[in-house]
Amino acid sequence: MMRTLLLFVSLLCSGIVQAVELDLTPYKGKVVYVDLWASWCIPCRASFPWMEQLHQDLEKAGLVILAVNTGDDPVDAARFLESTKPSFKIITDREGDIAKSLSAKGMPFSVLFDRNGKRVGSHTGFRMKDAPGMRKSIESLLAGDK
Amino acid sequence: MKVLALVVLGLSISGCANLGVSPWERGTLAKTEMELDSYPMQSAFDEHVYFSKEASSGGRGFSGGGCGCN
Repeated sequence: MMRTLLLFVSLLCSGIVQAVELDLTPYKGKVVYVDLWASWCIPCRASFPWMEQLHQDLEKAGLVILAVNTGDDPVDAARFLESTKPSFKIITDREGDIAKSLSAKGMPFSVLFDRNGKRVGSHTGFRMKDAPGMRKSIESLLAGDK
Repeated sequence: MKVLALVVLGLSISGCANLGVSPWERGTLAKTEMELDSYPMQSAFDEHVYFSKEASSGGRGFSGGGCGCN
């Protein structure tokens, strides 16, 4: 009886997953670009080469890219990362806690934080025609302009 | 009785507050097998067999009238 009860409780507890929080304190003084993505989302996949280029070009200027894998199948996500091998940081948010805290409107969803950790803008979706404008706003933020 | 009615009404209204799937929860919906026509080649073959046997086509969706007039 006791064993059954313990098994039941442990099964119940196994479903409880620790909520993931977006912690920007390690990146104080840097411009942070947070991107919510999933392997099933075609525009998210299309944005990876662009983000990789951004990371290569602007990391030294103080840009940090945090790609948050949101609500995705772990195997699919791992397979995609294996094929793309991004050099920027990947965070896993299985339950969408970070997406909820950032009020994501769609996928991909990106949020830009200035050097003081203040949210300065967000963008839903990814289109190549928007990419130069997004890069420009990141560069101006890095340069200290508003 | 009034209080009970109010509680039931309140619960039933708030029950619809969170309808819909969040953007990050659409992974399953994005799978090929979730499409309305997930195997288009199979559908094309089926359609061809149907046309050959029945001398009419369409009727699978709103676009085709199924009138047999091509």
